[in-house]
Order: sequence, then C-alpha cells, then structure tokens
Amino acid sequence: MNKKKRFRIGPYLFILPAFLVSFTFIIIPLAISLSYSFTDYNLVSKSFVGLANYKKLFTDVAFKRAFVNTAEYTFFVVAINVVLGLIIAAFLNEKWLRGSKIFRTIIYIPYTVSVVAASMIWLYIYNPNGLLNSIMSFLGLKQQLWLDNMKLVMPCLIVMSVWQGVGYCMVMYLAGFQSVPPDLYEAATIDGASKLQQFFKISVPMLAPTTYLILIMTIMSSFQVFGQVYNMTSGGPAYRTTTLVHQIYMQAFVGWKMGYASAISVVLLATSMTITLLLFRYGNRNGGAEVDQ
Amino acid sequence: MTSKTKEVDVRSVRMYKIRRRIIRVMIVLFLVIVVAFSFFPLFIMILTALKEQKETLTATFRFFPKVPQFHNFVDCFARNNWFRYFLNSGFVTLMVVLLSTFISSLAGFSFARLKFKGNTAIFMMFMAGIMIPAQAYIIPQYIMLRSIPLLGGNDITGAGGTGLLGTYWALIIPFTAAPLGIFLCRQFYLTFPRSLDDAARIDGCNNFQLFASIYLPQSKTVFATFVILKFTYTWNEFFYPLIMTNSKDMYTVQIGLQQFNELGIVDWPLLMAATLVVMMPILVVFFAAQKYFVQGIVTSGLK
Repeated sequence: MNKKKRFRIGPYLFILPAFLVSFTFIIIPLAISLSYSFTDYNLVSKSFVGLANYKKLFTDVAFKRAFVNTAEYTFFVVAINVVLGLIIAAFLNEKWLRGSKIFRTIIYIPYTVSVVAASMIWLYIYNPNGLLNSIMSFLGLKQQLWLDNMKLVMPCLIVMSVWQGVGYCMVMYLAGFQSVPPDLYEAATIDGASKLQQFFKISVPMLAPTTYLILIMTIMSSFQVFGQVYNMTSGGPAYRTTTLVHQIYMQAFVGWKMGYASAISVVLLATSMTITLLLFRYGNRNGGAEVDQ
Repeated sequence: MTSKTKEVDVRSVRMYKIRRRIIRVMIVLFLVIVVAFSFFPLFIMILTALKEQKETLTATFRFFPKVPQFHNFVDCFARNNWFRYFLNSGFVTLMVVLLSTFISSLAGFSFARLKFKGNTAIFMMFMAGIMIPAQAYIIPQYIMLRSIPLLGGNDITGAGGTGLLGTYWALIIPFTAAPLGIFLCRQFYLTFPRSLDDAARIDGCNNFQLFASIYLPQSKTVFATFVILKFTYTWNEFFYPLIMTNSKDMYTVQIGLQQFNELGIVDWPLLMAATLVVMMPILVVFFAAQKYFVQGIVTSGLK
C-alpha cells in the first residue's frame, strides 16, 4: 500500500522544485501583470481604471514609436542575420576550404559577449572621436554624430546586433548542414546541377526546419531588445530608438507607473505570442519543420 | 577524336578551372571580411584598453598605443568597489548554476524515465516558458520580491521595507528553474538503456536511488553543456539585476560596467580595460570548452 502510493506521487516530487519556482516567478506574475494593466498603480496607491491604460497607448507617442522601432529593428536584424548566417555556413561547409574551424570560432566570439560589454565597445566605435569617424576621414568622407543622427542611429544599432547575432545563426546552420544527406549533392552534381542550383534546390529546402527554429529564437530575442538601447542611446534621439522593453522600463522603474507599464508588457506578450503561433502554424503547414523536443 | 576537338576540350577544362579558382578566391575574401568584421571591434577594444586617455580624445586616430599602459587594467577598478561586484556576480552565478543544474536534472529524469499522468503536457508547459518574454512578468516579480512578509524590514503584510530586493536571493531563486536544463537533461536521459533501470529496480532501488546512483554520476557531459550555457547567461544578465539591485553593494559586474557610462567625460581606455576584464571569464570558458558551448546552443536551439 505504502509502496504503491509512493510510486504514484514520486514522479511529481522530482518535478516539484522546478514547478514551484516557475509557478511562483512566471505563472503568478503573468496573471498579476494582466490585472495590474487595468489599474493606476504607483507602488503606494492602486485604483481600478478599466481600459484607460490601453486607451492611452493609442495616444502615447513614445509607445507608438517604440512599437514601430521594435518591429523595424527585429525585421532587419533577423533578416540580415538569417541570410548572412546561411551564406557563411554554406561557404564554411565547402570541403576545399582550409581553416574553417578558425573562421567559425572568430565569427562566433561576439555572441558570447554580454550586451553591456558589446554596447561599450560599439559606443567607442561610434563616438565622435571614435574609430568609425577616423575611418570616415581617412576615406575622405564626412564625419558623423552616429548615435545622435535620426537617420543613422537605427542602422548603427542593427549593425551592432548583426555583429553579435550572426555567429549564432551560422552555428545553427552548420549543425543543420550535418543532417543533409551528402548523396543528394552527389546525385545533383552527376545530373549537372550547378553549385548555385544545389544551394537553392537542396540546401535551402532541406534546412527549412533549422531556419524555422532560428526565426522563432531570433525574433523572440530581437523583440526584447533593451540593453543596447539603454546603454547606447537611452531611446533617443527623439524616441528614434526607444523600444517596447525600454518603454516598460522607463514607465515602470523610472516613472513608477506600474499599471501603464503592465499594459505595455501585455502588448509585448500578446505580440510575441502571436508571432510565435503564426510561425508554428506556418511551419507545420510546410510539414518539414517541427521544433525538436 | 580529332586533335581540334581535343584542344577545345582542354581549353574549356582550363577555363572551368580558372573560373572555379576565381569563385573560390572570392569566397575566401568574403569570409575574411566577415571574420575581420567580427574580430575588429574586439581588437580595437584591446588596443584602446592599453592607451592613455588623451590618446583617445585627439582628432587624429592612431591604432596602436604609444606606450602600452598595462596599469589600466588595475586602475579601471579603483574608482568603484569592483572587488565587491565580482564577488556578487561570482556568488550569484555559482549558486544559480549549482541549484539549476540539480533541479533541472531531477525534473529531466522524471520526464524522461518515469511514467505519470500529464508527463508530456507538463513538459510542454515548461518549454512554453521559454517563449514568454521575461519583461512580460518582471513588474509583478519586482513587487512580489519587494513585499515578502517579515523580510528586509517588511511587516507581516509585506509592507514598509524592501523584502528580498537587493539581496542575493532575488537574483538567484527565480533563475533556478531552467527550461533549457530540463530539456537538455531529458534528451540526454532518454538515450540511457531501459535495462539499466530494470536491473537497478530488481536490486531494490527506489526512484531517487536510481537517479542518484545511476543517472547523476553519468551526467557529466550534459552537465558540462548546461553549466557552460547557464554560467554565460547568468554572468551576462543585465536587465534583471538592473531592476532588482537597489544599492551599489549589490551590483553585478554588468551593472558596474554600465556605471562607467554615467560619469560625465568617458575615460575610454579604462572603460575598455574594464570591459575586457568583465568578458574574461566567459572567454576563458568558451575557449576551454568550445565543443560543449556550441553543442548546447545547437541541441537546444536556444539563443
């Protein structure tokens, strides 16, 4: 009797620590976050305001800019990283290439650098007396205030994020190439297919599951961009680089408007969930792609 | 075959070879540019860390420092209590890694090896946690940690003080449940032969003994992978400690580094020196265990 009972509860006990922590620090806060978003709450007093916070989102310039900026940043960073990562991996996968391991290691290093450290390095590169401006004057071009320029500041952040993220995509694609059967390429070569044709007709479709996984992960992480913005531009100039998470931070922990910030975080959650579900759906329809579990 | 067609043949083979060579040279050139782009910022950081401040403020840029200022690596830590920051980061990272490894392997073992109702459903729930952006629940998390009763000057209702905010526990406990670890351990334990379990059970092992005496000692490779990733993530974490630490004494190295930026005129050589030192533990781990590092990223897909 005793033994039977222990056998039933045992498996759950193994999961209990992980479950308790996740439940306390993710699931409950998620529910509370939703409820805060209907209140006006500044840590001292709390009052129910219904949908007022959500209505305010539509008239808040900072929020609108943040939403557009986040989408713009995510689109460019993800697109460039995925395409560039695939090309680099395809080249590194060529058998005649020597030293591909060294290439791989160096391209991957920036990915291990923390966002604060990366921000500091690129702040130095972009600063008025910094590296980029001296390269500009060396080439006889006009020097720029990179991070104070409305047109240039977003591309500057995107370049930095490509520097950090392309190694991840490359490594994922290199692993993906391992699972493409080599006889496919051999057969195609015998049939007279060029390397370029092989790339588009064999590599790209066979790597679809990898692409799909990379898309989910990079879209999620780009959508949460914060460190670069906080450390390099503070969202400026004139909200040009403020992002959703930056707005959550500013509203909640600088302005102490917990209710309004919660409404923004609900929007963040809803948007990223929608994107993920769309990707899952699209991926499953294509058949080949499933997140391995 | 006449001699003329043979000649054409030789020529076209030669053309093909030349074309192939040109393409290969272009590919190598492309890769060299990418590598330069990846490496150059780090190279500049190292060179700048060795300069004098006045060298970085002049309009004429020089790559190499006139005289390498190695004392920068000591000086950069004089201004703030960096010893404390490293201690904080070290302790928090150590605790998070130890606790999350143990907790994850327990859960991973259960998901992989034990039969119970809702196994797959609960596992998928944990995995869904990866998809939820942390910023979506950080505000209530902050308020919860702040209002834990009877701690940090709080009364029984959780008001009045700061609760667990500004303690190590605020930086440790929420990170001890790691979906990544559960995933990696489950995958790893699924590859163990079932006969191992049967043999142990015949010998009278219960679930925990089975886990502790057979699975845990065999987990070195999966732990290596997970520990390296978790170590990197925890050491590099910025958003969370930025919010949850409320005094300079509790800063982690990342927050300390960010402070350099707020001192008016930036002393670039000292900032770059500090940046390099803060990156050092990760770089050492990366080069010492690159295989596990990359393996972890690849098997989980996690960014």
